[in-house]
Amino acid sequence: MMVDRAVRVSRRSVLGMGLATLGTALVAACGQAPATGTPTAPPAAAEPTRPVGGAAPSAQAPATGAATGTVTFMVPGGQQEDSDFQPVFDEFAKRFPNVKATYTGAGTGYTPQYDDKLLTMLAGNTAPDVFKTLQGNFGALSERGAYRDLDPYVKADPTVQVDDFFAPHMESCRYKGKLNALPNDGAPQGTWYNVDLFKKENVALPDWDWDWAKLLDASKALTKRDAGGRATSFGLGQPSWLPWVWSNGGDMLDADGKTCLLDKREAVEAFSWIQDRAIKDRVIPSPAELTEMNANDMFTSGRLATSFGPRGSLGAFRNIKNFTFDAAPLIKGKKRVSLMGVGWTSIWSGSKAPDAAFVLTNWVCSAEGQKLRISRGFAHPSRQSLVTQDWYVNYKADKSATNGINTVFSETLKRGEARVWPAHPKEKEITVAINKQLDSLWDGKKPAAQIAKDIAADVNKILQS
Amino acid sequence: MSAATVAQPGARAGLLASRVVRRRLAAGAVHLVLLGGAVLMLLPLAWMVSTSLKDPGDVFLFPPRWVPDPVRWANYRDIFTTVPFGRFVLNTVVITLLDVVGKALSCSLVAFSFARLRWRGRDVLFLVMLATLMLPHHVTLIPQFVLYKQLGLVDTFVPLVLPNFLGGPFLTFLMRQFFMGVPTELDDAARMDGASTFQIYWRIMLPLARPALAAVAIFTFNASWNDFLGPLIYLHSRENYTIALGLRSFQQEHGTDWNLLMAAALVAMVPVLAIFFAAQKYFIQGIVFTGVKG
Amino acid sequence: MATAVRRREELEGWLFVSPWLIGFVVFTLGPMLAAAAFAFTDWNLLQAPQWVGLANVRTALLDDPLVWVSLRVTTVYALFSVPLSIALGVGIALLLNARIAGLRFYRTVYYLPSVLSGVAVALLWRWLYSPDFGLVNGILALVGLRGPAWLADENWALSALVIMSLWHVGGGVIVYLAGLQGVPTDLYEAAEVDGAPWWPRFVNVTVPLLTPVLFFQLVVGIIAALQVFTQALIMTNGGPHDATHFFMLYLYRNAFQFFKMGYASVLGWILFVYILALTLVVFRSSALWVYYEGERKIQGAG
Repeated sequence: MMVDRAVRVSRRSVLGMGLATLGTALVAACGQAPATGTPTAPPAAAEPTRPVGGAAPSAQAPATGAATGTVTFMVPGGQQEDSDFQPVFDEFAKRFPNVKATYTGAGTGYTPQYDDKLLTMLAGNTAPDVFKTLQGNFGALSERGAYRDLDPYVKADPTVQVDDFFAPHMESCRYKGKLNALPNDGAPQGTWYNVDLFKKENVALPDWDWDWAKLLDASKALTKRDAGGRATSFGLGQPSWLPWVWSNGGDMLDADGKTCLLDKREAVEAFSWIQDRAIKDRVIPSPAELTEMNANDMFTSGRLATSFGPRGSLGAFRNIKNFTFDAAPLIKGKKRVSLMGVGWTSIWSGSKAPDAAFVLTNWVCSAEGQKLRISRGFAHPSRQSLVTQDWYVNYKADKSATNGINTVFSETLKRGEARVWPAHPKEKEITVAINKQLDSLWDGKKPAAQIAKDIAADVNKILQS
Repeated sequence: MSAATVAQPGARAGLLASRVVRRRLAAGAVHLVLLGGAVLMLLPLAWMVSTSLKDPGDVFLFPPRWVPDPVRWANYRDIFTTVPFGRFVLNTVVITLLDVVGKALSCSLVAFSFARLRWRGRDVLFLVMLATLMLPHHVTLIPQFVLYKQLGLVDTFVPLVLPNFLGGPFLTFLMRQFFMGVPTELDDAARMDGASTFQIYWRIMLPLARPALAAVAIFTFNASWNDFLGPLIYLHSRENYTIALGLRSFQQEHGTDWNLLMAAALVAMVPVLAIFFAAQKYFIQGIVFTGVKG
Repeated sequence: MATAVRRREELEGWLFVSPWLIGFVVFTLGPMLAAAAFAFTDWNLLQAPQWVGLANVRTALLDDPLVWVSLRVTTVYALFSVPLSIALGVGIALLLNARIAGLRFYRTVYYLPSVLSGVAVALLWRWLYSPDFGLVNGILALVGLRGPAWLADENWALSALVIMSLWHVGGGVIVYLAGLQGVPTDLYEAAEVDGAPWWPRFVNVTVPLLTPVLFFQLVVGIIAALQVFTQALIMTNGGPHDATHFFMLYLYRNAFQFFKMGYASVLGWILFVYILALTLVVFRSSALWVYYEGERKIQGAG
């Protein structure tokens, strides 16, 4: 038929197509990012005349350097985030008139498409000068040279006030010794709970001393079913597995990041504990029950007594109308190690105006910059000086019982009981593999010990490939 | 009708009456089925409307409630306040209109060549054109992006509009099927009158293919209006964003503001439906070929 | 004289097709060949690609069970959603072509779901598929059936997505409607006989004249169904237990989440070959069942 017909394409058109191909391929190759993973030269050598701060820099305000330039700044954006950053950039324009900074929300919201867009821009060598990295890519982008090393800047500029950052935040910004970002927010998980449900069942409210045994009893008491067996309330939200493993003394990877430790006893115990709550005691909503709404939404609807999340959950919970809620620290196992997120703010290694970009980065992560943004919202400051300030400590939502919704997170950080997800170049591949095996945890298809073994096998395969 | 049935006037009246009754019954049955299907189509929409009028804390209630209480009309105002939707709508309208014109012209032109003209390599190239739809776009996304970047066209509307003036395999295929369904008598007659190929295309084929062109317009309008991937990759400044990007504003770090998202999605849907409703007249009573057989 | 005419038609053929051809050569061919080249590399998007020869191909075909799992999921999905969509689409189009009142309203209602997409639709259907409170199980309960857990049940999740795709059937309905407009009413009148059922008229007149657009919907439907993945990404993340792990989802993850663009390119070409093979089968078969009114002059066109 059509394909049978002899194709007599003229030699000229073949040549033409070949040239076009070659041209496009060359163009594509030339468009490759020059970054090759080797560290870029420190900027001090290129800008010897940059003054360090003004005449007498105040303790708080970042100094105006001689850096000039135009810089672009990208975060996922969204209704809340755009309005939160507005005063930050307005004030920046006043304080640093030499640097022209443009705020751009990526137009993706907090969805995986933000990463798609960022990666495309990086691959095409037109990335923003300063941008935020979302959970999952920090290790990968660090390993592949997407970030500029910030140590030289930080060492030369006392207005950065590195010591004011929480230690876990700063640690999380380092990758293989290099400082690849400054943190502009980040909170550990806590235990959000429905005060009314607790009071109704006469269960004591969670506090710093609670452990898993207490949590188990409480969640059983708080799970109620109707005559048909359908749950009218659940006692326990889905715990994140990693802080549970940590809190039992286990870990995901060894110190070198070469072997998976999730098949060790401590991790298996943590997985078993979670699975028993889901399958044996049925105090955790099953995947079927979570079809129409996730755990946070179920908490907002008043049907879930506890939910684990960072201070940012307030974004949803502040709209709660029908019951009183509060926050407690993440319930400890043998110890307490809570999982925290970090707002990595980095400079692109290919930026044409790195010094100006640092001025912006410094401002966004400074105490004043963070205050301007977070006082309108509910992120968590990355600086110790901010969590004692009035506006933070005394923030109250309509239906929050105490200001525990603010203080438990900072207290967790102060006690050093928070850790960031370990950054790894293959982090997303590992996470996808683990989450797939965890399907069996939530629906009981495999026992926890078997799941742990399978996870370790999958992850080790990825680590070695 | 046979001579026997025509003979008796009473019998003929009876026949007529039963034909009318049968028509009415058939119409009634059609209405019944269509209504049933319409309810199925609209029920999810009703839930969208319901959600769009709820307070943020009421979106997930147990047990689920259809009628919001209180009804929050302010949602429809709020979606316009922080996000510059007006600008997004303008951008989207410009892009979409250009796309529709481009697609209608280029696809019909190219399809005419595939359907009506004979030239060597035609059928192979047709398959090649279709084959471009078969390679997943993710693997060509970045080379194409780099290409446009080297041409200095990133953060403009050009990468979004230009491909629509260069044919488009999907809709060209559609128009080609249409053209191939048109009898060739009119072409022959026009040729004998000395019409050029372009005149045959412009004066004869295009008017005959109005339903297909309407379909092309509707599809293109819908695709361009809702296109997310193109604007995601190629638009980098907020002033250039389109509605599809704006709709993401409600997916925030702490979760999604569903009530606002639903309101925005509903509002974004209205223009496309309006165009569809208006384009209906090209779909009704397509008495296209009267007189050809005569 | 005839050769001059033929030569001019040859030239005009190329001229008329040039908009597509130029676009193809300039904007499509290069990236496609680049994608072919990348298949032989290890490319993490940020650093220069490293040549690895056939390693990606070998891994994909011999050492990666997920490739076959996802191909199976995708094939099963297409196997059900394409025929169902076509059957439902034609049925609805016929109804929407009848001479009854309120056509504009009905057509708009049936087209409406096609206009919605993305996250709003995903949430909508998650709500509809809720085992305890969703409408789907509610309707099943009316007839005494106890519905499954749908999206949370590995045996039903794929079916849930197939059913969801049928909600968007309105897009195809437009194509059939446009096709039905091309059916000359005088042919209808000639075939109409008092007291005769509508079935022979449908089979002998409507269907043959609809075959060009049916062919279109079949080819395009196959191409599209085999590349579906967004809803799986948003609603089920490929689960539970890989029940909805579409091939395109695996490809997307490799390209943009695992930093394995070279491997993703190989996957892309595997899917390409698969789709092309199926399409060629349909093309070959079309000589048997597709009827073109204007076929007299054109021979052998698919």
